[in-house]
Amino acid sequence: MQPLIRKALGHHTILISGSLLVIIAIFAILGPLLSPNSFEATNFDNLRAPPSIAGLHLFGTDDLGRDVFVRTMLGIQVTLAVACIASFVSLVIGVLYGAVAGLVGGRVDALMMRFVDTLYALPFIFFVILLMVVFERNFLLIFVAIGAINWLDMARIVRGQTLSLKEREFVEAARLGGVSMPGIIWRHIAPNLIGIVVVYVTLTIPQAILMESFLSFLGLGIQEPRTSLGALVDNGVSHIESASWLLLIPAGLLALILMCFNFLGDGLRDLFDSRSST
Amino acid sequence: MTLLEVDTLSVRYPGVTAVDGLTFAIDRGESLGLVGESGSGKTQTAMAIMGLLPADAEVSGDIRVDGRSLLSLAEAELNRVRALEISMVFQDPMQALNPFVRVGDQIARILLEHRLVTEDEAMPRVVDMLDRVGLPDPERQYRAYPHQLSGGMRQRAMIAAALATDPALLIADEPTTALDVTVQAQILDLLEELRDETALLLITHDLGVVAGHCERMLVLDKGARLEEGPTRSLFVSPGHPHTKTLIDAAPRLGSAQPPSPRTSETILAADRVDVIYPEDRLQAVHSADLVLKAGETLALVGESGSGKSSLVRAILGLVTPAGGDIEFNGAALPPDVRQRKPADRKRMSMVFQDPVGSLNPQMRVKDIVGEPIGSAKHASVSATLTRVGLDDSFRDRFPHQLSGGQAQRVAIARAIITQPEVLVCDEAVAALDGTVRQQIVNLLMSIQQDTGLAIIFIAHDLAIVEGLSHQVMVMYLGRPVEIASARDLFSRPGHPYTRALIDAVPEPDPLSDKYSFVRGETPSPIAPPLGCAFHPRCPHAIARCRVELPKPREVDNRMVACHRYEELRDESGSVTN
Amino acid sequence: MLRYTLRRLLGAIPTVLLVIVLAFVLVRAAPGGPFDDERALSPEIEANIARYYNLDEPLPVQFFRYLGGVVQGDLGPSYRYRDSTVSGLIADALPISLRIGGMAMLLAIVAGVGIGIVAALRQNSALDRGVMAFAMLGISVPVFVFAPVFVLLLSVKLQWLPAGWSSTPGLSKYVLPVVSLALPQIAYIARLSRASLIDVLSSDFVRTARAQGLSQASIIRYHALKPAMLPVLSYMGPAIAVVLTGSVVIEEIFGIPGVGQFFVRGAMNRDYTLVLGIVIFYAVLIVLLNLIVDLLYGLIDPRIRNR
Repeated sequence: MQPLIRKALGHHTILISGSLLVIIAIFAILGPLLSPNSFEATNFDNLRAPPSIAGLHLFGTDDLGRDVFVRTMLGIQVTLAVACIASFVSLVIGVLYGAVAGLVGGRVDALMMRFVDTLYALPFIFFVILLMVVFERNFLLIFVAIGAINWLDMARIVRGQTLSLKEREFVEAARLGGVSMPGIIWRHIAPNLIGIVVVYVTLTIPQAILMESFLSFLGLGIQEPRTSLGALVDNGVSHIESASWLLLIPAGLLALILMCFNFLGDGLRDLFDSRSST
Repeated sequence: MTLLEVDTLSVRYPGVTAVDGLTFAIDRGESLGLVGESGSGKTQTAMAIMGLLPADAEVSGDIRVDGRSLLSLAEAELNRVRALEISMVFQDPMQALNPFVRVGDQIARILLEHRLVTEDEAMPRVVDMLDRVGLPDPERQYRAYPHQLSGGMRQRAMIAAALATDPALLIADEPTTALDVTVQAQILDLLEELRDETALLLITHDLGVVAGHCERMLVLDKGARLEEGPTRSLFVSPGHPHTKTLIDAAPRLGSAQPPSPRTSETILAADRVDVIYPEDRLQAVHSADLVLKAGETLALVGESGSGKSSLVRAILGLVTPAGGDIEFNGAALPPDVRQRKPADRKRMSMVFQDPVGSLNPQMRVKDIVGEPIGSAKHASVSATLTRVGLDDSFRDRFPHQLSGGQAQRVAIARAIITQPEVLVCDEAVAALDGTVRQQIVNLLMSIQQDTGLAIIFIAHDLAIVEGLSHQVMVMYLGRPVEIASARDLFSRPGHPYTRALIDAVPEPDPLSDKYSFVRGETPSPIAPPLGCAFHPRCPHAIARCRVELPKPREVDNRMVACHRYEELRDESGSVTN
Repeated sequence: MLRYTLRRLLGAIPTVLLVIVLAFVLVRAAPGGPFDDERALSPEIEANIARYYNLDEPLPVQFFRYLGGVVQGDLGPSYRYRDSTVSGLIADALPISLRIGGMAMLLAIVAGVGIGIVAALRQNSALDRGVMAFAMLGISVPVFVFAPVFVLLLSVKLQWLPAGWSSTPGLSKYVLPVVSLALPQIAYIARLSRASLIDVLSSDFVRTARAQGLSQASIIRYHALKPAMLPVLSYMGPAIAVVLTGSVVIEEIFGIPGVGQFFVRGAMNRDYTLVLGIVIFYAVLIVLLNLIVDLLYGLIDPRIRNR
């Protein structure tokens, strides 16, 4: 594994996007701790103040006089947390579902994949909205709902990979050699799945971020006074003419984070592709 | 008159030199064989001539056609040279044809591109061309998509495309490597027949092919010319030891005396085994029997679709047979490998075709070899690696750090570490170069001598198995057609298909004039012919063969499934096509 | 091909049924009724309302009554827009949503494929790198960020284009919504078609065509374009779903009275029948469009057609 890490660090795209993400995450965690301002304290004497050093409102204040810097950092925290947990949910469901379908094979596999195909055709985002409407805005539900959507791709990929690994000659050799099924899964299937799973988790995270911010933008996500990047963008749109930083700062950071994840995923795919082809 | 001159050509990639200062020439109408093992730069040379090298290739030297340098030509001029003066046939006809475009349209496009015909003339010209390369019902094949044609038919279509513009030089890059042996002979013959005035640059690893089809040959090694000369004289007196090694390593019939048959106990018996793949709607094996005696080598020979791999997979339990029994040392074995006792499983093992693909890329050599015994530390791991000729420095390597031959040695070590009684080698040397192939075969034979291991050796090529097998079983479309001792089978083949396989082996001897071959290709196992499956291709087929399935019969010390064996055999029991 | 078509058609039915069941169950599983937050109603009135909306029947009966309606295109009455049926509301709002969605898809395909091909042909050139960096930006920046930024720049600051909807006559009001909706899709399709064309151009059959002396233009036209466009075609299904989703946001931002706006409004004030109706309508639309894409795919790929 070590040469792989070294290779990853030598890959410019991975290095740059990865370190940017780490820096953003560190800022998001440390920022609110270091700032004298709180995310929910309103100040009606200082509404919509532009970014300045005064009062350490680095990103200005919003329409209720709250500090935008702290709120943005908090928003990043929430957005990243939602995305990571949602991706984890989709990872667990997708890998389990795909691996079971691929390992069992035959009719079970055909049936399981038929179900996935059916789900693929559903307009999921509308279901999530329906879910949010029906069950009020439950923070936990957001994770589960977003994760529950994104597992389909993962399941398909893991299933395909498992199926082809199962047919590989080294797995047949292991079966002939008397290696047990758990041994085959542990030593032969799982290690050869890791690469592709890592790539797709990296590409699932931005999808989950997008979905969360989409819901928050519609007012169906995180509830005030807590916030997320999507909710901040939503608020920014309302004050687009009077206080453009309320839109531009969270929107820019959202775009930056999404780009970093997309670049990272692309880079990792590159890395694993070139490795599997040599 | 000189047609093509290659002048100190070098092709370099970052860190690798693929072709190193190569110089040669081809005269009009001449045929030159470019020979070498994999990685010797044969294909790179062809690609350089065609101007098809990837962008990161650095080319130096010169390539001239009729005195005109190709390397300095503008794209448009080069395109005219490519079609009208030089054309090329590639190795894999499935990949080389566009799956989205009708076969006829692909050929017509070439003629239209170079304004050789008008839109109206194109179709009849192409149909005529398809007819000349032997496609039955050419009007219909014009409209076919590549996936609707068999491998041999696709390669015929490729040849039609290459010769449609009547080029001065045809480059054929391993044109028959992806095809069955009986089809290979047809395609080579077709090339020979159609090219008349066209010069031929034939690229191949197979010296048998060069011996039969090229006036001159050029031996390449590591991108450089080793030697060059008339094929006949090089075969008789090779100037370079490597050439001699190559010639000696080429599989040829009659070069080795098959070992005498063993009379030991039967160790493994398969009785009326059926293998069916329901998803593909085909039956791969029909009621096949197989008997393996202790310590003997049984060669299982047949072309694609013969069911040889499916039969051994059923025996090993990797696929569950739809019917039949398998007995090991007199005791019945459960059909599924998972239901077999671990001790029983370890008594049979297997070596696969793809040396690198059969090793887990994430595991080290010691873990791969140690896995069947559950430990990489065990002393027998080192001992087994030594036995297959790998020293301790290989223990910690990963598969991608091994050459093909080394990887196959690791696979053999993994297979023999449990001290099995039966070893199945499924095309285990087919992917290896001639010299390495011989080393692996020798290794297997010496292991057999030491341990008394019985081997089932699957091959599509008869020449490889002649020197190492006691018994040979020939299969066609899922059924055994002949089983005999290797001595009998090679000297006196009893089935017309066995005879066809023997005739199809290209002999690495330029003086050999043996050239008869069977027509057609193996039909799809989805729709096998009625009666004897071989009858559509058999030169001796009669009405009875078309309707009645021949039962395997014991005659003259052999098993043969042919209605006409008694009529066709000569006094020695041999059948000639 | 006929069998393929039939199989696809039959395969779509369970999907549609599943959508209706899921959506119906979700809505009925909602804690509390749709009228809970209004001023306290007397039990009789509540019972009357329930009877009016058939809420007093057992759930399966309600479901089949609803399903029967759906088959006939009747999605029931709206809970909030009194005197309006859901089907009526959708029918009123649909033309404008379709117009914007359709124009955005068209723009996305034409621009995306065009950009992708140009980038693929100049692979690794400065142009290619620049275009692909922009494409990465395009797929990373969500619609609801693009749209307000465009409004801020082009409408508020430069005053080139109108920001509002209802007050503006003419076509200029379409520009911002359509471009904002199309932009992420242009980016995605550009990346997709570039990667796909590069892949096809490195295939063995293109190498054969080069060896046959075909010019780059001929190779692209006769050999590469069709296979290269297949991944783009199969992306059309998901793209339609994404554009429909995006239109919800776009209609909200620009104040366009389309289906998406009804959907968001319905979600906000818990107009369950309306939300349910729109989900089902969109699902059927997506399934149908996916079906068309599948059939087109079968038409283009001979390996599928001849099955």
